[in-house]
Amino acid sequence: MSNLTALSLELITALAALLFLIADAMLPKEKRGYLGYGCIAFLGLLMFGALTMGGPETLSAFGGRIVLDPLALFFKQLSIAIVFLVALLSVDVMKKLPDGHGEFYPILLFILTGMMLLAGATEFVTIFIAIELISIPSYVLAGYHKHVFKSSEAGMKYFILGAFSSALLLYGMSLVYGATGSTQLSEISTALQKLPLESPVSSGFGALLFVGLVLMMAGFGFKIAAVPFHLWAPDVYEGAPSPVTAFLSVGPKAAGIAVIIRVFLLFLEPIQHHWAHLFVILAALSMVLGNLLAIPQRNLKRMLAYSGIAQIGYVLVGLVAATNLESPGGTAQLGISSAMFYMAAYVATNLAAFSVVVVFSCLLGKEEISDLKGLSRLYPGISFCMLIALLSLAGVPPLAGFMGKFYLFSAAWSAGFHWLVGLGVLCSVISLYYYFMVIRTMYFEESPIELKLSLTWPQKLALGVTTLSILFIGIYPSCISTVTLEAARLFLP
Amino acid sequence: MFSPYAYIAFFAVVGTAFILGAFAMSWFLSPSRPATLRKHDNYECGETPVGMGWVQYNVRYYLFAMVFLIFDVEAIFLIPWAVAFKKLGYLAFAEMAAFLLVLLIGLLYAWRKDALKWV
Amino acid sequence: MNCSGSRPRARRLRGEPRSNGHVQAMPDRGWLVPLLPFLSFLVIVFGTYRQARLSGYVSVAGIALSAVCSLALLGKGLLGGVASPAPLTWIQMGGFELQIGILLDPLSLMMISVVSVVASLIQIYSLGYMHDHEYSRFYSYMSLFAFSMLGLVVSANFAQIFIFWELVGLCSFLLIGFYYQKHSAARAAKKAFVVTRFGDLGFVMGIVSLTWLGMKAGVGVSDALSFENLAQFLTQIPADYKQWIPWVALLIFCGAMGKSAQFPLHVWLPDAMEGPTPVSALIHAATMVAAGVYLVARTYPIFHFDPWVLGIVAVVGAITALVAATLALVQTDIKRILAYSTCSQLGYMMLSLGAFGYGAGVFHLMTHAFFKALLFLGSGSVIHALHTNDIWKMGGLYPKMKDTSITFLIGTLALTGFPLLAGFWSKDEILTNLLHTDAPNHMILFGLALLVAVMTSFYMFRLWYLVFSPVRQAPSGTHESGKVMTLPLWILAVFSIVIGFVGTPWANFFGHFIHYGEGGHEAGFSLTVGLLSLAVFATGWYLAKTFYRSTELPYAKILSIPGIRETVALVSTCLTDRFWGIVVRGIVINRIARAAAWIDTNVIDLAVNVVGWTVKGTGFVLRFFQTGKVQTYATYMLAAILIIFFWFFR
Repeated sequence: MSNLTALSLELITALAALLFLIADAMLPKEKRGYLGYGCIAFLGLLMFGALTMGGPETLSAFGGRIVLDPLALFFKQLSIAIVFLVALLSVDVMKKLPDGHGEFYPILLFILTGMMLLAGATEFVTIFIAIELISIPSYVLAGYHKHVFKSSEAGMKYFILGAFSSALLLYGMSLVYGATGSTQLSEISTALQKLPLESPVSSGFGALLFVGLVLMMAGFGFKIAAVPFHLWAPDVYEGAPSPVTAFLSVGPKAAGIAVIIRVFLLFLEPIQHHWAHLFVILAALSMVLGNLLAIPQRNLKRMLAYSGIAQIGYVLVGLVAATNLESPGGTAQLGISSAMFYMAAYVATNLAAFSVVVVFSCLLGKEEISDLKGLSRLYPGISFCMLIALLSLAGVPPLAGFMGKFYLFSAAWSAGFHWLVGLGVLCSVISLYYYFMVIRTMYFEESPIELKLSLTWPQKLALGVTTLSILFIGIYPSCISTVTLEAARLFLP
Repeated sequence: MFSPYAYIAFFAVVGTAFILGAFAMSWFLSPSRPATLRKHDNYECGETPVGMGWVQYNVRYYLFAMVFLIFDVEAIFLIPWAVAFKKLGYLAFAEMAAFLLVLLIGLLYAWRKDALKWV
Repeated sequence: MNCSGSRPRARRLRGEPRSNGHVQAMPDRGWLVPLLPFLSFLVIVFGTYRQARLSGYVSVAGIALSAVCSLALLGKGLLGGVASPAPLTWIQMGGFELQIGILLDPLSLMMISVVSVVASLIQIYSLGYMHDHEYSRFYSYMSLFAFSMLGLVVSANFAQIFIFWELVGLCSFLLIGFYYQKHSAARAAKKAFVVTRFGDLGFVMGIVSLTWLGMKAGVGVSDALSFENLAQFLTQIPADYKQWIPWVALLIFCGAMGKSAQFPLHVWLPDAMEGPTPVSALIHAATMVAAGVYLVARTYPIFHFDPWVLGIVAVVGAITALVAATLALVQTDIKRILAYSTCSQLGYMMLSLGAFGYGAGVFHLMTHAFFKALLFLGSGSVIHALHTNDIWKMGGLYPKMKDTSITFLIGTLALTGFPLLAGFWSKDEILTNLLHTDAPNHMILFGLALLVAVMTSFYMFRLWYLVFSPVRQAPSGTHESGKVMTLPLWILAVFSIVIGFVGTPWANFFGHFIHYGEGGHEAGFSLTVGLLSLAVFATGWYLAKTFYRSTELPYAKILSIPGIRETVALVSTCLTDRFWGIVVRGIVINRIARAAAWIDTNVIDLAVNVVGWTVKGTGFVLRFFQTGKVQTYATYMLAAILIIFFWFFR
């Protein structure tokens, strides 16, 4: 009998998703609007439950295919928080749709199940199923405004490219399986330790393994939208409904980082000289290209898409810092902890920014940067939230983003990646430009029109929670960093 | 002698050559007739085709196919389980029940959403 | 920490003296003290901003509760022991760790009590002084200030104190510029902010240097910056680097100079009187300006490490005391007289700290907070009644405003060192200490201190005679302020009378409670000093009386002698803004700023522009790869993978 406690959150969420599905089918049409509030309430309770869980011990289920350790728990909590905030943002948008808004919440909950499953999965097939459980509903969500041409296009693009990347991932997994004879990560790890693998290309076996690793990395890289696997992101972000974009900009990234940490940094650690360079390349390219491409953007969502690409580059710097590529001393715990910290800070920050975007695009149908002109006069509260979010993305003290970057770069510096830190700092400086362009538009330009919009309580809650989190994490970073350090204890030598 | 992969390589070469050879043969042997209108029509099992080939199929086809898939997948799992029913015991029964429940919910959903109705 | 809390209580009941060991009680809830005003700040800003009266009451309730907590903690500290709560890890990022904590030792206990009590009284007074429509803004700032100041006092390390240091600076800026419609108020706020920034620059550099020294000593950041470990940390610094410690102390002293308005950074304080009078009383007399003195006392080990730094502290203090007292002699604005007097008294405290008189300096800091707050509030009451600051337009207020006049007289007597009042004890202790200390040049400093005391006595009685003495005629229609204003005056007056008795030379409770090192440095009673001090008081008083008691003012005759008025004017301007005008305009603007501007426009801007154009151009070029076609994207991804393969298999 497996230890189902390790799987309790996923099971509860999956059951809830099925219940919401039935409820959507059975409820009369005019009452389906309540589903959203039900979903919010459920996610709130789930968050509370997940926060009370914990403890340093590791639970495992299904013969070690699924584990619940502090690392997994952190990402599960983060996933619940993400979906909770996205649900808050979606309620009022979905209510406005002519039909089918009830399906949105089961889909969201299925995605959450997949994200949580992925955080604890330690076997290739389970990982793949979890990833598909995230991806397939995400394709649906991207095309959720089915009567809007751009949204359908986004869904289609995301689906085709996503299927392509899944194929790459699966192929990579099969090659690694071929090389090691197991799909269990722990067994793969022991198999690798026995083999003398000096260079990736010294033997046919090494080459097989290496090709598998690169393909897997491409698959994961697609999910987190790291350069050069980022090309889908701007188009899909722009076309998808804004709450969905909000989700896509954080959800798959958090899940992807979780699985990369577990697969590569925890279990494939013995052969890190095979893959560590690749992550260095990914990190550097993402930071540079993400920031450069964000500059000419006119559309707010597109700009945030590129900024998200750049941000994931910073997270990858933290992962790189966890390898012993440059310094054999081993700063694994620090690097992982900093990456997780940054991920949490990024989630709060980006969702704050997207809350503002959702309010604007869905209530007014505007999502160009120039539409924000004079926002500060009309809506000082909303502009303040956006200001905080953008400053945090740019890494201005004392906000969450600054603390995150500080943590990441200090970890990378002590791991010996001085040039990467330099590049990161340079990129942050570049990023100031386009974030400040938005701030300038909001604060220093006159509004041509009178906007009239009123926020509902879920939107206010989402804005408030995210903005306060940014401030709180920035002022008292230890509230997160102690948790992440604890979670990264797995990486102690 | 040879590594196992050599046979695969050999097989690939022969296979490719065979296909290319077949195409080359038909190119050499077939008589050349200039294209007529009929020749460019869609092939429809000998019937005279009606309309263009680029017709939009009704989405219901896919819906039915997908609902059918529910039973399809169900059958694939049910039969091996039913064969070994006595050996597997109650745990497997519970698991299968859960599996069926999930599929049932899917079917129920499709039904309520009028996916089974041909409009 | 796991020792039960009942032990100190039991000891208290049995009346046993404090045991010699370090008493470990339950960690005390010291964090309540700064947090309560912060709570009222939040409530005002987010809740009651529209209801002016309510905002006022919320703020008063917050600070009053905070005062109760402080006094309870002080009582506990006096009777048994107060344990600081365990510090929280604030930032922990690899090797970089900062903590945030509440440091409760006798010094901070005394300070939180003084700050919260004085702040409560002043906030109550403000209920009568301020106008209704100003309440919400005023009390939100005041609460924020109370939070910052109390947070500053209980800070457990340099990083934390610096944050609160800047926060009180911000509050001071906001409150000086409270009447921002007035051009002069806005200017004064800016000036205060900028001038203190000079000092803060040094403070930051000092903190950074300290972490640098910590690195050299192999001590983590959080340990290097902690106040509790400061003395121990200094011993751990390798011998090669010990020479830097005095310089670090000097840098930290820069911060103290800015905040405590020490010469030559004293110029902001008189202008800061543009703020509402309760603000002047609280921030620019009793509490915030004392933060500099508190900083020196708090980080005394680093100053004590090398006597020549303390010598500099003493000299700066002495110069400030003298210069400010001189300037106070000729002011005509009632608040500016008090401002210069504050400045001068702060110099006194610095002088004492610099001459090894740790206990005496801190004692004076405490007594001064009470009587100077009293004096400012009294002047506020006068201004409230007469709507002018000019002492020549006042006069003969005693019959009309008895409460204000009597309490003001008590404050004056306390400040000038009339026997048995608060200032007498603390000033005497400073003087006795100066006489007996082994600090270099202590006799010169002693002489200067006496001179300052004469001047203090003179300008304070000048003020009293001109404003209150019944000889002159009061303007018509003058009436006493309301109860809500006079009650705090009386309470502060009582404090000004009795507070000195905690530190008499014969039973120096204060000195036993707060001391540096092993204690026992306190000089006992010295009859010479007592008599001298009395003589000094009488001289000042007599001179003031002869000049200002009568209506015809012989003082004017002296000033009419050719040259005297010009000399006084010249000296005073040289010592105040003129001096800085020359320095700033001549050196900073003309030389440094012009050069910097040239470099900025011609080198840095160009570089920035070139980078900007490049970046922007690259962005535009790269955009063309984003075709929007799925096939292209898939091809790019595949191409990227293939490039990786080729790169590694080449």
